Amino acid sequence: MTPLLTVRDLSMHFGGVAALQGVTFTVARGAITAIIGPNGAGKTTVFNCLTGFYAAAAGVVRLQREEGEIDLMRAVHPTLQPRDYLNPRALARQAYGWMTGGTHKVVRAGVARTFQNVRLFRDMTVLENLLVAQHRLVERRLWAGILRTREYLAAEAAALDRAVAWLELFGMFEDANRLAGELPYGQQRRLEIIRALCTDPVLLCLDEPAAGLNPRETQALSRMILRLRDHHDLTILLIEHDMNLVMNISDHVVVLDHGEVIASGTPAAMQGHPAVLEAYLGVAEPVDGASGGGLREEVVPVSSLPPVPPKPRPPLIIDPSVADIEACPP
Amino acid sequence: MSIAASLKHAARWGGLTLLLSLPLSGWMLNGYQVTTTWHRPLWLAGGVFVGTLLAMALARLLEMPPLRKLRWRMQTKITVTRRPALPAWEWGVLLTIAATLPLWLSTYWLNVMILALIYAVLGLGLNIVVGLAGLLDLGYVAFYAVGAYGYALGSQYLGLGFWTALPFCALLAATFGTVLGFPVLRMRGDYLAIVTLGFGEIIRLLLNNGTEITGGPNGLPAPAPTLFGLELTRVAGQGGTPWHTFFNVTYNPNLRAVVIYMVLLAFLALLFFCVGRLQRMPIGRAWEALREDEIACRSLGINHVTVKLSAFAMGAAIGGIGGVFFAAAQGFVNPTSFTFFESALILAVVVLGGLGSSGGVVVAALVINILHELLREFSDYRVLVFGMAMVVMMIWRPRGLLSMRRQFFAVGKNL
Ligand SMILES: Nc1ncnc2c1ncn2[C@@H]1O[C@H](COP(=O)(O)OP(=O)(O)O)[C@@H](O)[C@H]1O
Ligand SMILES: [Mg+2]
Repeated sequence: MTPLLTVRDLSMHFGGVAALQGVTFTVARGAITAIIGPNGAGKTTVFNCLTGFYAAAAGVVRLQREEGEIDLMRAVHPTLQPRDYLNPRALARQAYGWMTGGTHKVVRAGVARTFQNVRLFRDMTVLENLLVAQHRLVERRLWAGILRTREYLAAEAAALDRAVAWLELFGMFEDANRLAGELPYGQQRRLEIIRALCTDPVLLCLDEPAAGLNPRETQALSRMILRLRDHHDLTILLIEHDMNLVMNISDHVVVLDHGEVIASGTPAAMQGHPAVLEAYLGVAEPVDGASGGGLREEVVPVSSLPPVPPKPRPPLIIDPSVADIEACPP
Repeated sequence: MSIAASLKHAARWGGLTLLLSLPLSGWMLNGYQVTTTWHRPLWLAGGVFVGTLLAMALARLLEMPPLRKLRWRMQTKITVTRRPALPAWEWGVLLTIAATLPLWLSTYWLNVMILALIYAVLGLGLNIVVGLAGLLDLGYVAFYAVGAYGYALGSQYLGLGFWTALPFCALLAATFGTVLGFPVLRMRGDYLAIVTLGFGEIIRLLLNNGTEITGGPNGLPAPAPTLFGLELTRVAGQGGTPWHTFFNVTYNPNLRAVVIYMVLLAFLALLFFCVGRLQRMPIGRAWEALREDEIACRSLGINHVTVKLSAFAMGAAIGGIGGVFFAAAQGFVNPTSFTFFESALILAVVVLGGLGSSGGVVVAALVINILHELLREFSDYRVLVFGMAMVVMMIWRPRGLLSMRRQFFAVGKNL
């Protein structure tokens, strides 16, 4: 399988805390790749680095689209070469990049993401949320919109068409005009995925999409993700804690702990992998009877576990989706 | 609409016109007696009634199959309906009533109305920044000052006329808005409010202390607008022709106010229309999305910097135009007109009217300014009354007089 995304030697630290240390993995085109790992392992940080929200200290993130290869890190955080110091255009570009953060370029390259904590435009309707997502695809000239030219109306109608098509697919057609903040939680999560889809991506990054969903909703979600892969030509990168979901739908699993990739391979291979069990449960032996449920902790009788030694955790634990992303050091 | 419903609708508007026009044009003060004349209000009401019926018949006609093709229909499976707050013709009635106000109002109240409309313009501008983009700007008065002084200084040093000053000052203020926007790009909430507050004060102090250029606290004269090259003053400047000489009529000192009022009204109507469209356009939705969640915006490919700056620039440009009107109406500018209190008042207009609601902002601007004048007798307690009104409003209607209307789409399933 050809890789769509290559991440090599990605490193990132917050102050003295190394959040990522040389993370390397590839995401195959048209496959579902899952990133798993205990809390604080650095999964969300990987997402933030490859979508341009964080500037990684080192590493390469490459998106190999059919049209050509894009170096995402370079595109988002261009580094100034010594010979550019006297080049006004390069300096201006640098200043502009410093101000904008360049995250919009990642979306233009075809990567869309969702967040661990739902980030909807709560006071806007479902359709408006989806129209905002198509901002870069629609007619934006001021006079065209004010005069409602033919082209503008056609572009708006096309945007609505796309939005409604995704809503129908996800069974949220009836909610088109409801306020996003009024939706039940499960629907909000679904809407966030639809909104990401409306940016017309090739790679969809989902950060814990099943968190807080009930089993039925999780089922529907896994069907949806499979469908996106099979019928919509999408590649999916998934962070997930629900091991059932991961084991059932993913083609490839990357296990992260303490900012390092400790194992990767097929879901089946990961189930019994000693390093993985070590990271999750603090035990190095495969656990019997965990075949169906994968790595879910509840299938392991608690009494059979050795006492878990306290792990040396990084001292500061801030959820990045709550923390002010601007506050991170460049 | 059925015929009966149409009749009812028309009767409603006719009745309303009757009610409104009775005190306005039906009672005449005759010496010490008030005489009631029925024919004028009745004619007005009858006119509105028939006009409404005609307008509805016309709308009905346009819906008929042969004529329908004349109208541009979107080639989509989805029908998008936009339900404006008021149908177009009702806007027409409102505007007509507003445009005939100078005939009824005294010069004093006409000037009050001009100020109210200027506040409405400023409110619409600030509404973009605060209501839509969610950037709390406490120094909005700076752009108002830039517009007013831009006109006064421009006419003094560059010989700018009123009509050229309008776009010029809009651009100038937009530039100031962008300049302010850059340093505050990464700020939010309280920090942003403090910095913008400081910016407003800086501009005022500059105007106050730059005595050589701006005249300092003494201010500057601002010329009256011209109309098709004719001056509205009693004596024209060099080379100009005064209006009354040209038409050979007696000089009317009211004319300046009337012309400014009419131009301002036309501009406000245009602005209202444009802001309404902007809100429902990609840029307007992006402003709102930025207010709701900046990080989500960025994850959707929106360049939050340009979107933010465009909100600042657009708001500032509108503030600048408000300033030009203010200077032209007063005939004079000085820094005391641009204190923080003005910023607070404009913000109050926006909050009271309803964040994001253009209609609310205009209503609030009218209410605040008219109340302000009515309460002149209690001028010592005016701000107190005003503050209490704000508190009561916030309890009674936390989203403002008219809360913002979201755009709903009528979506139909694909066949
Ligand atoms: N903005 C931030 N500031 C400081 N530390 C951070 C920030 N974002 C993440 N971290 C640290 O990076 C580590 C990995 O976090 P994260 O990627 O959110 O983990 P996961 O998503 O796997 O649960 C954590 O130790 C966290 O404290
Ligand atoms: Mg996380």
